Amino acid sequence: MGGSHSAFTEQELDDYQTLTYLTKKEILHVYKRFYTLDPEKVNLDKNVKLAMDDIQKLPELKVNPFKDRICKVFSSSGDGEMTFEDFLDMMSVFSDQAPKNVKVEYAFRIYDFDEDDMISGSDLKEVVDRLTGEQNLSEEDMQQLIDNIFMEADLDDDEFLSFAEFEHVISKAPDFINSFRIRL
Amino acid sequence: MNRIGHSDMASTKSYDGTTKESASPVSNTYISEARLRRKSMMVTEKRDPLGLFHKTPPLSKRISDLHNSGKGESYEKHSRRWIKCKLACKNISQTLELWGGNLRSIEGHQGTGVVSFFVLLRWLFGLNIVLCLITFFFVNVPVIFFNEEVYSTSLPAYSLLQTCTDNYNVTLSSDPLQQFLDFFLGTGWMEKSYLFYGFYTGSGIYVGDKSTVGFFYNFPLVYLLAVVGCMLISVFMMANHSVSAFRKSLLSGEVTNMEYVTMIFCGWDYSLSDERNAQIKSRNFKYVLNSDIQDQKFLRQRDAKMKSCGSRCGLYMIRILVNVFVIICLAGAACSIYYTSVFSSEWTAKNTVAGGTDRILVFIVEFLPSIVITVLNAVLPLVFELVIQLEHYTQEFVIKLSLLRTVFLKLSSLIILVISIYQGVISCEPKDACRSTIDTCPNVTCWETYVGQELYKLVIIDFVVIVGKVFIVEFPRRLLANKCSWRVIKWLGPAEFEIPVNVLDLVYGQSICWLGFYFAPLFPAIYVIKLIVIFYTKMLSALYACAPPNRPYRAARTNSFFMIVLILAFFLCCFPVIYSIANVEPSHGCGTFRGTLFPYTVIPDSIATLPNVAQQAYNILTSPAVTASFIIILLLLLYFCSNMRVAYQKRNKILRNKFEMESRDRQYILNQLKRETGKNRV
Repeated sequence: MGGSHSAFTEQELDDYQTLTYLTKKEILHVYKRFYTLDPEKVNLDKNVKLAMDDIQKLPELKVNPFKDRICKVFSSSGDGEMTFEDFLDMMSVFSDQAPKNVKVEYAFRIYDFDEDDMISGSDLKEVVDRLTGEQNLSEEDMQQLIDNIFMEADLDDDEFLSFAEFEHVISKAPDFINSFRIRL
Repeated sequence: MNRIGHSDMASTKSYDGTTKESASPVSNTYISEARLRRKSMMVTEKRDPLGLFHKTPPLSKRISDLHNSGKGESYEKHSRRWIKCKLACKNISQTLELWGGNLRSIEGHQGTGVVSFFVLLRWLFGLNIVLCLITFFFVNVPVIFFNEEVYSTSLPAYSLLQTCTDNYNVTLSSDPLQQFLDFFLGTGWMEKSYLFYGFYTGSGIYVGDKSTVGFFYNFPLVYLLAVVGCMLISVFMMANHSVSAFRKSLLSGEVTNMEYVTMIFCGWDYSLSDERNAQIKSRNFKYVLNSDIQDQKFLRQRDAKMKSCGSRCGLYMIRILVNVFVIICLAGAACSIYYTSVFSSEWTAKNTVAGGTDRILVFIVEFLPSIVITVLNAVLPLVFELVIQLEHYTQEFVIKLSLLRTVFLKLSSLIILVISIYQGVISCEPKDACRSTIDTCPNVTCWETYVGQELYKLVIIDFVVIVGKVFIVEFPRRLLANKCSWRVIKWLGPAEFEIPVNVLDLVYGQSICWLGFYFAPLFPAIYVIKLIVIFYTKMLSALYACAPPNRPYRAARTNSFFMIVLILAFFLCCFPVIYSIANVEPSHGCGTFRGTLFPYTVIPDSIATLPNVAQQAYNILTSPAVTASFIIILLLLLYFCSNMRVAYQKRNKILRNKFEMESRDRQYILNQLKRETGKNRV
């Protein structure tokens, strides 16, 4: 798209390519998607901050049960509003080329609902509730499930998953990379 | 556990200031060291006490860090140029990606599990294109563009060749219906086409002027080498493709312990963008969670019930019976395929079209073995699914076992077909000097073309079934589910995109291709066309007709299983081909190996024309001493590698124990700290 190409200087494109895992074509494509979220505002100033509701209009995010967490984690101001660079960062982490350790870090941040750098039992409960949608699990099954997860992953038995434990467990799961991926 | 953000991308600098591992906590760019220490002293158990979790700064900060870093300008330019080059290559390879846009839309609709099927299809497409190019350039192009030389009269077997070639005549019908049917049967004008082995002659081709030296293209030798080369390339490409998957599964070893974690944290497919399918997925998620928890309960109940010896024995008896039943089914299937094949060849020998039998009837009976194989491949897996309920296995094991039995069924049906052809035609004596059958054996003058024809019919039926299933079963079910409001229809629902069944179909088709391409060099080309049509048909099915699969598809693990099946199928199919090359006398009236004792003798004969040194080298290399020691060295390497794997797994366990102990130590120290600070405060 001719218009988007002239929206960036060579230097900016270079920086983006160096610091993210996206190619030039992908970066321009991401800009195009960002532009369609709110064309007027982005036309005026490409560094505008879009509100969380606008970002969640993206089809891939709209159906995602963790869309608010994703916006909060990648937003540089921490309140869910994202600039284009935050958006680009998000697409970079979700791209194919991002290495596993980067994806694991952001996955941990997304699933850490209370943002205390540990995944607690209540965080897990929230994750499962979001995943099952409207029909929630019974109390008994939920407790069973959380116990099972802690049994598998919680190595120091403190009823919290630290980042190290999370990474230890998730890096082993070969399907993680496949599922933690958004392609625009 | 220090990680350095995005610095593996740029070699210039890291963006958080730390570059090496150290025992002290990571200095977070937002929190100073002192404050961190104070925080760890306060210890609410919630905070990550040693601050081992380090958050990557956002992109805008990384950009400003990059600009402020100001290392030598030239150093940056150098690494920048290299990085630019890499990025340019990546850009190019991305634009060239085949069917990339289609795969993305399928992923948005159905998720990554279904996409893995299409990725495998694309990889098979690439493999077959390579095979097709090799056979085309080495086998077909010379025949198309150059005239083949006549056999020289000085050849010892010349008279035999002459009579046999004259004997081998194919009746070309002028009836349009017969010509149309011939396309599907592989007889008539198809038999005399480039498709089958029988078309090619065995002499060489002179490229360039005959009177001057020119270049003599030894056709039989090239044909043989092309076949062997194709097989080696297939092995190489399969090994290449599966090595990364194997590495991950071998090194991780403890994958089976992470069921629930994987299910919860890898449970949501982020690439889904279709709203309806997303709802289906979350409904399925609950269903799967429930069924896994039920599995646990079921296991516990079953173990409780099984305490008594009586019920345990009963269950084992049932399992043995079911397995015996499965074996009987497989044996029954094998027998029916064998007898159908024998019946078909005998019946068509007696009732030919020329003798007055109806063309359509002959057509159907010719196709009978392939039809029987396809019907059995479709029906028996359903029977297995019903029967496996009696065995009381957990859901996961049920899936694996049914898959295994289906694989066994498909591959063995192919093997039985080959064996029946072998018994019925190839090893049927007496044969005349031209190696065509006489008297009691079914009438076959060129047995290689006959094998090619049987496999060709199988390819056609397989293709018709795959495409037919989409249009006859899946689309109507979707239409019914959308329009019709009967309860039964609603309960049945639209068809599911069953990934294992589809992948097994691909593997089956590819094994037919491998089995047949020696007897019909254009098989890879046919298979390429077949794959293109299947891709678009299945894409339509995935986008419009099918609902996403019920159980989450563990792509990585199941993909390596299918790779193993593919490799197994390859070796199974190699064997008949190698046997035909090395141990069966070729027909002398058709094909490129006429006149030779066995096809592989072309190689020693050509070696004999090389200078003495080469001959000596060849003799030494193929002598028993060298090959035996080579095999022994390979076995030693294998033993060594498997021992290394065991060692790595042990080391993995030790490291994990160490990690656990360190956490316990840390917990102990923190508790001490708490007690001390508590005392101080008081």
